[in-house]
Amino acid sequence: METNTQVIKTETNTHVIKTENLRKVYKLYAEEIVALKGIDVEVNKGEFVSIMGPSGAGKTTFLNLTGCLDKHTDGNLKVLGESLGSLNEGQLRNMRLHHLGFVFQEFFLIKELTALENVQLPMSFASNKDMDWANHLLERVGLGKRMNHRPKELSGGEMQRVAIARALANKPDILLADEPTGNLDTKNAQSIYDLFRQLGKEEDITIIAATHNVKLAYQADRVVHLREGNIERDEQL
Amino acid sequence: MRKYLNLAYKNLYRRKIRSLLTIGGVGVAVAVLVSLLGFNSGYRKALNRDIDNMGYQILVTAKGCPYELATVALAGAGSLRYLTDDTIAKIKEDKDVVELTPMMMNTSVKEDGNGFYTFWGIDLDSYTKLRPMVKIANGKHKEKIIDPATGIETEKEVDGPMGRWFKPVKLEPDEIYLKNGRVLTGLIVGEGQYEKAGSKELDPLTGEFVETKKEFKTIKIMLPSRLYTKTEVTGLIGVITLKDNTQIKGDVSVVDNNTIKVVLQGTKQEKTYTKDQVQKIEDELSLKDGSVVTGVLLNETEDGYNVGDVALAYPNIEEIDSSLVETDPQSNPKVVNHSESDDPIEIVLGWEAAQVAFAQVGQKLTIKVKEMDKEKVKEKITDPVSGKEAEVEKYVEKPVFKSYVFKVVGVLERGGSKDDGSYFVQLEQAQRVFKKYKMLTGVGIKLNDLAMLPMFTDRIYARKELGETQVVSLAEVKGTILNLVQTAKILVMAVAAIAIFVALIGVMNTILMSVFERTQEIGIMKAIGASKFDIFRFIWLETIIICALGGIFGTLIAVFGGKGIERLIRVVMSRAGYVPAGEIVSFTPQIIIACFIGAIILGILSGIWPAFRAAKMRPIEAIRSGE
Repeated sequence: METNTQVIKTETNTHVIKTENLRKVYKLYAEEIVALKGIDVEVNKGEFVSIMGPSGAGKTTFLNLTGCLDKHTDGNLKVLGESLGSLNEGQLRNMRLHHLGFVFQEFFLIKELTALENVQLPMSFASNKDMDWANHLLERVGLGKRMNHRPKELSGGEMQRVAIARALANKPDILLADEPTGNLDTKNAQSIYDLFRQLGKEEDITIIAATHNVKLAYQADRVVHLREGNIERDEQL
Repeated sequence: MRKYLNLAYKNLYRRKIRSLLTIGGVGVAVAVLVSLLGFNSGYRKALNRDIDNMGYQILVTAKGCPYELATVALAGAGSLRYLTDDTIAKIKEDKDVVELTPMMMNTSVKEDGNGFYTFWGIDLDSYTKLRPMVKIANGKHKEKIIDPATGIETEKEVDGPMGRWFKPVKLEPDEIYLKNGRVLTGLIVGEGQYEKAGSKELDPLTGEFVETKKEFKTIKIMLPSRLYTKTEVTGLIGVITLKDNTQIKGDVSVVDNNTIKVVLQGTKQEKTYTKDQVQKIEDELSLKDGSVVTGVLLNETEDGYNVGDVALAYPNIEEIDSSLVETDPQSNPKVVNHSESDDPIEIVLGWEAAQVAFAQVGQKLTIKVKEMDKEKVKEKITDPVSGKEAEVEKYVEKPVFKSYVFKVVGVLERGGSKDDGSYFVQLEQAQRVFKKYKMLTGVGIKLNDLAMLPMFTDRIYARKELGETQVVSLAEVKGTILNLVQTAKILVMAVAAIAIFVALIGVMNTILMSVFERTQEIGIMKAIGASKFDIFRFIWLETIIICALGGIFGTLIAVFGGKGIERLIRVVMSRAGYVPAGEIVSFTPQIIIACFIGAIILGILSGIWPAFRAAKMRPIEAIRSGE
């Protein structure tokens, strides 16, 4: 598995994500819902991309597919040079663990664990013993003093920061964020985006964040507008 | 690993009540298992200790089932059969016998019905020779001293032997002098009454002849039981006494264990009677010297009639019409009754018996012994033709408690055997108190070489004049009891297996529920990179923690509740007969370790399925399940 990681990294060209005619169809009872109707998009290394669009446009589906949480129906999806359609479950897990970080709107922290323990959890899945790294990450997201607090003792903004630190725990290449500021006030939302921009610049992490918020979306390098499963507009800023 | 342990622990802590209940379930299953194994090992040890403390190697008793024998040998039980006391002299003739001691064991139900006294009538000389380990205790104790002049009781602290053995007393037999010159020697066991149809008398009112009934006073005397050989007996006839006191004589035989058949004397007419109708069955032996002996050849047990059973020696009680007894010039019946003596009987108590009775040396103890007596009751009857009601008198047997006064002369050293709870009196005294005149329950024997046992046994069985005896070596008794316990153990193990199975399902259910509740959390873990194995591992760990805690909890219950379990087993087993003295539930480290490992294995097994379910979940579906 570890050797696999090396192979992927050397093969990586400037396109960390490349899709061709990416389609996703959900079956709900007898009905078929087409969430993505054939998307072609390329994302470069280090790019900060906002995905915008109304509800049901396919933002979450796109992130889930890219984040190896779900499988696409048709077309081709390459992440870090790997065709996800051809990977088995173990390889997909490997992608999630080592190359991808996921941030959810609802934060999804483990309630029983402290901020620090939440960040250490993915590290322990990767058998990473360097626990100082978790401290470093929490300091990096500005929670150096609240490491030993449990999620219920933290504010929404703080919880999302912990979630971001957790997503960064195994030094991913791509950070996927699905409505990361959906549950936050304007001030906290802005500071999360500031953090994203910083991380993008300093760590060379590719960030893809879905959002409804126009003001935040346009702080990225690029905004992709989705509508009814198609790319409506792709704005390079 | 510590991370997983931490998480598993925190998850269990989050569902405190459910986790505790599940741990409790596992705990109970483990406690059952630990107690069972503890009982098994303890019981075996206690039994061995009892047998080794016996002192004699062989016991000769009347023929009966092996378990009954074991019961007699070790604890004593109700319906015993007896040997006649002339057996002892006959066995003593055997060349391999070094020492032997006659014993008469009897139990008496305590008046409150709570347990019973175990009395041993022993021959002090031979008993202490065979069993030197039974000794008078020594140490600081309190003694009661009664001033003979004033009768005032005082207590004083003494350091030294706790009293002494009882002093042998020569007991003279009771005698009844009959008018025909015959003298009956035995044990007077009570007085009785019976009714006999008298002559027909003219009723002055109706002018009709009516039958009158006359009541007679009787004295009951127990004569020495013995076996009669065929050459002495001229005739044998069965006498059945029905519940309404009718007597039927004839050739009695057993049909099944609820029915008997009698071919009426002098006819070929057959009649059958059920157990409900019959009061007692006796046999009448006509002897060559013209006398008639009644006793029991046909044995009735609580379960019914024993097909083909023959009693060995039986209480040979003669009921003498008091009008036949000679009188002295003051017209008092000429009866010598030593049994009526008011002198307290000297008694030595086992250590525990003394503790239970709060008895001290010098103290008087009154113990009530259950006896059967006849009571006259009135009963209303209705004439089916005329419809007239009338009152009739009839006699029914009923238990009475007769008080005996004992004086505690000594307390025995604690020996860890059944003796600790027993009461010891002189053999003849026990025979008198329990109305077993010249009868024995067994003879303890020491051979000069135990290897001679088979030959000795053959010789005893060949001697018909001993009657139907049984020679039991205590090693055999041990085997018999252990076999019985083994059978019971298998049964109880099955119960334990069910308890464990139920615990397994309980644990599985708890974990499965917590897996379902945490579906979203599991999805998130997968999303942040947990592998199937990671998920499997920490769910599995939770079940193992539950079972390990249950194992510890169960072991603690069993070990600390062991005394309670022991008490319970004692109550249950004392109903069945024999319970060894001392600790019967004992825990070895091996048992505890084995049960703890068992609990862990239980966790491993019950965790597999829920952990597998959790590991199999697809991340996106699992995350969505929370929405």
